[in-house]
Amino acid sequence: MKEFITACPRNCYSTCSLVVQVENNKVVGIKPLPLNKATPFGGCLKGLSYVERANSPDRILYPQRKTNSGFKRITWDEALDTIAERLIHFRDIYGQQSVLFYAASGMAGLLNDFSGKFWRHVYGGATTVYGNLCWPAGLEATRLTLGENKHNVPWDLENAKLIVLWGKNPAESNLHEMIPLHNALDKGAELIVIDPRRNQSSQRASLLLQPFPSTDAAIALAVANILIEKSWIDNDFIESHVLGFNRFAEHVKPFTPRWASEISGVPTNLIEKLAWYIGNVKPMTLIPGYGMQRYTNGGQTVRAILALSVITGNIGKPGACWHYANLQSYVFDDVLEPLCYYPPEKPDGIIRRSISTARLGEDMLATQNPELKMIWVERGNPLTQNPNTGKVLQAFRKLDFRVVVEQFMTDTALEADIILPAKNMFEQSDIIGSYWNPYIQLKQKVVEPAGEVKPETEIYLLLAQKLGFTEADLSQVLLPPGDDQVDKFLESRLNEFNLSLDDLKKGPILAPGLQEIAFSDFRFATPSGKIELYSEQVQSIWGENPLPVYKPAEELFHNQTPYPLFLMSPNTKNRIHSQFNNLKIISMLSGGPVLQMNPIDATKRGIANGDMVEVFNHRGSFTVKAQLTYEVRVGCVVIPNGWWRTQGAPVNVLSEGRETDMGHGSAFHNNRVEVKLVKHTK
Amino acid sequence: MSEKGFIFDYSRCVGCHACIVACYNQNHTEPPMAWRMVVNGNPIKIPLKGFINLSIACNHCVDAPCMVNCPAIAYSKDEITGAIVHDHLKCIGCKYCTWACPYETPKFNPAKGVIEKCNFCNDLLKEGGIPACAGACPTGALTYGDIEIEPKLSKPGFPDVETSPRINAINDTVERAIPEMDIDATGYQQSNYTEHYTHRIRASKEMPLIVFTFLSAVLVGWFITFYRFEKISSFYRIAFIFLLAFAGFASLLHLGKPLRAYRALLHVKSSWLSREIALFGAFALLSSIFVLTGTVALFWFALLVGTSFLISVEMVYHVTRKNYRTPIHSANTLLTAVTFASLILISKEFVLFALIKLLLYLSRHAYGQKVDFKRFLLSLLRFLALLLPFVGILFGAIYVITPFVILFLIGEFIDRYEYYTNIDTHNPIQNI
Repeated sequence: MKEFITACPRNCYSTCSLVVQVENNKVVGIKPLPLNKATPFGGCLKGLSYVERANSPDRILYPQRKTNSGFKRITWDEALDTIAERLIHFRDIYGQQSVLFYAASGMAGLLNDFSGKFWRHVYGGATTVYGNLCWPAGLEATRLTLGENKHNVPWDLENAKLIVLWGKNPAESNLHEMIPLHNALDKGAELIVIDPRRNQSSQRASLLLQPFPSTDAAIALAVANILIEKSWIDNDFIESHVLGFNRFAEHVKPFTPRWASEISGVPTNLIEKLAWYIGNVKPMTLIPGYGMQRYTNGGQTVRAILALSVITGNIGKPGACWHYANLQSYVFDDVLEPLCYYPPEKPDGIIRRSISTARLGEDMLATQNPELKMIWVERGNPLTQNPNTGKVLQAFRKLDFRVVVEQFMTDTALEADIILPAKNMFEQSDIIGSYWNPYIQLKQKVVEPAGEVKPETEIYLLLAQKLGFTEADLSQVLLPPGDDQVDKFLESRLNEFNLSLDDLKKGPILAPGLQEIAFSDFRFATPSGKIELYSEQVQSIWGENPLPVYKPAEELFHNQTPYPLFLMSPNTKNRIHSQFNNLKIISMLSGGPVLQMNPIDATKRGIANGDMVEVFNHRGSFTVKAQLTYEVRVGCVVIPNGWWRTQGAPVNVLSEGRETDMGHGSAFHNNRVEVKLVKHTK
Repeated sequence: MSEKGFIFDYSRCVGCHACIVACYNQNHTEPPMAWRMVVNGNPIKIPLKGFINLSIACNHCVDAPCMVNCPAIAYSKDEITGAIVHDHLKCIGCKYCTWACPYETPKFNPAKGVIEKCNFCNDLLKEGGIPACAGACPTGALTYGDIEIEPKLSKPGFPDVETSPRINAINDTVERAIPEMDIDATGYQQSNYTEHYTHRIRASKEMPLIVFTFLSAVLVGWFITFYRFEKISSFYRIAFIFLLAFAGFASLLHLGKPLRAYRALLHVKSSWLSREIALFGAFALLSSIFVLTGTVALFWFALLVGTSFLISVEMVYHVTRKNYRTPIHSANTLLTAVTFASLILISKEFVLFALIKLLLYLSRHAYGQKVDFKRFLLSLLRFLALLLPFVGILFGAIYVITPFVILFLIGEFIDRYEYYTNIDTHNPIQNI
């Protein structure tokens, strides 16, 4: 048995270092790598489930073509010939922009860039998507305020005396954050949780606020008002580092706790208590989640909350930070998030066209001159994860031709005309960063690809050859075949920072230029060089108020709505978005899909625990089992996202494709539903 | 006593289930089978109450009740590591260990017909490693190291049973951590929803045992009346033997591996279940010979064995958790036996025995919870099945016994069924 150091490349904060055990070209074990100070005790249940995932009999191992009697195995030649023929056809008849290249966050790595290069430089430009489903509103809000997205190293959390989890449930979404969090609590820190759910992370909280979804900005503004009124602010910090404080102070005056209470449903005394903690317990690490910025008011919500860290001076010090995203390990990227989510602006001679990720279905259907004829999907499962599944499905089915590169038979793969087998994380080396821990890591190739699996870099090379290019033509654009070429490429990227693959094979490496305590130099890359509570750019780029405001989220506060319940679709510990639940062990642990609801809301509708219910709104509906719990605030229901349609609870059939106020994020949490009884189980 | 074992920290466990996946990787358990479980305290998050998680598998107890009670000697202890190891090739699938273990550790695999359980990753321990679950806990809540062994742990999820488990549990004070929060937002005051607990022992699933123990009581009781051997018709003699065989057959039905049933006799030294089976066999043999031959000396010997058999039947259930408050259950097999015998004999003692049964039955139900209509009718039937012969014999008004016997037997069967709804295992879910 051989052991290799690797790292988990999923779209997850933790980005764990792992030791993978290999026997006879087979992954047989996953162990912890204590060298990573952020994930010293090893991966979560998903990381451990790679033993099954890598060896799953359900894995797609060969190219397949959809026929009238289901998918049939075909040869690579056949698959690529078909695709090449179609690509040429669409280019010649409609132009390159009739092809949509869609890639999502299924697997991180530098080699992913070659996919974009194929479509841009080899095919000559395809339609792409801009924006991102996850976190752009918060990133943009932070960037416009602080200048950069970075935070203190994860283990610095131990130094905090006050930890505010605002809309984040790390026990499920960032398990390893619970290590320093528990350490801090053991050392006497206080924990405050703000979430419509009494989530797992609130176990040791001193204070729990359960606002209605999307109303967080109101609470934050009222808290700011109290802090300023009571002088629980850091005047020296404000003086030296903050732009627009006076305007902000004036601006928040009308925002009383009573006003915020009426909007958010949180009693005034708890809002005042929150203000007391934030004003009096230092240092504070404020940890906002990503869920609450997936609203049409998401960017302003994040700006309002961030203002609390700013006016209390909880930035740039040990134990004090704004803990949203830490992009310090993304040293290889030319353009960092969120700027890379902007639609392309300057044509570089190649025709570019981009449509919104958030409105994928709608935009696909609306696109003209040329209409979309084909889609190529890799590292993504848009038919599960993008808002308004009904529209996305309609758009998919309207196309002439669909290629999906996948490891498993996802909802999206099922819609493909041709499925190409995708590599897994053990079959090609790559380098990954993390948006939480500060390490650069090597995701090592440890086994030969299973079946006829080929990494995307090779797929594109072969496809380019089918399109008539020679290897020599392509050598400047695509990666030549072979592991040594991959290593050579990665080595060249590392050399820019005087690092080598051999270094990374020994363990994770702290990002070059890392600031362990972010902003400890108090340099802010904003136009003014200060923290911008008042940001002109918020107005010039997004047309929003330069000061943080509370704006009711679209759709959520119509009085006459026939859909009275707020639908929350958070992430679960059992999945990374739509990955993992197809594995036997994960499916056993996650159980079947359920809709969590408060017993009060259930009783009103004659629903008992375990009953089958229909959850619906004007966009869609499905039937799911009800689970009654006091964890969920009255008026809210919860279905974690990521269930496939074939697994029973495709939550995005209910959500709308909308962009957030900033950053081209997706506001799919603006969502209300009604629930009705279908069948009693007992 | 300092030994090696699990250390569990309630304040670190967030219920992430990584331990279960680590176990799956190491031991190749087949879902839905899992050797480790995570038990949630206050899973529906009732406000003003804390919540807590407990990851638990086999605690490899120094006084392992599974090993003591297994009739087939399928369990053994590794003297070096302390691991309690189960050998599936020796297991008869009687599931008695699932009752005996208060941690719900032995798991019955219906596909294989045998028990499976955590083996402490004994192979890893012998190589100087630690159990896979403890080696993989991402928050450091579950570890393996030096522990103090105590007879029992007074911690959430741990039963009030002394088994000397190889586990220390720390920081359970988090169970009392309750945030300041808005109760109105939870709607708790206006609703009375509570978490439904599913009994581990369920009467509907234990029919072979119910039939076996019911017949055992009836047969021993009937046998008492055989002292007037000459009055027993040959039809009844043959019926008696037939019922004995049927009872024996019923007892086999609940085994996952009926062909290995002989192994049930191997652990007479310490397992009441072994004793029960052995004494049943002895009683069946002796009583049959008596019934066929009429040897008087054999009668008394068989009766002694039969009585011991019923004592062992009762003792088998000493591992369970009794959800009734009377000192003995109204369906107690010894009581049923003597009551039945006195009924057949239309003897005045019946009045006494039936009265005891009635009182036990009534007082148990006086504490009972809500019952549905079906349950109520059954209870009424059971009650009348005792009351009618009671009144009949009390006033000497019984001339034809057969209808009363049939009624009595129906009532006793209902009561025996109820017995299995009145017992449960000790388990972490009930204790957290």
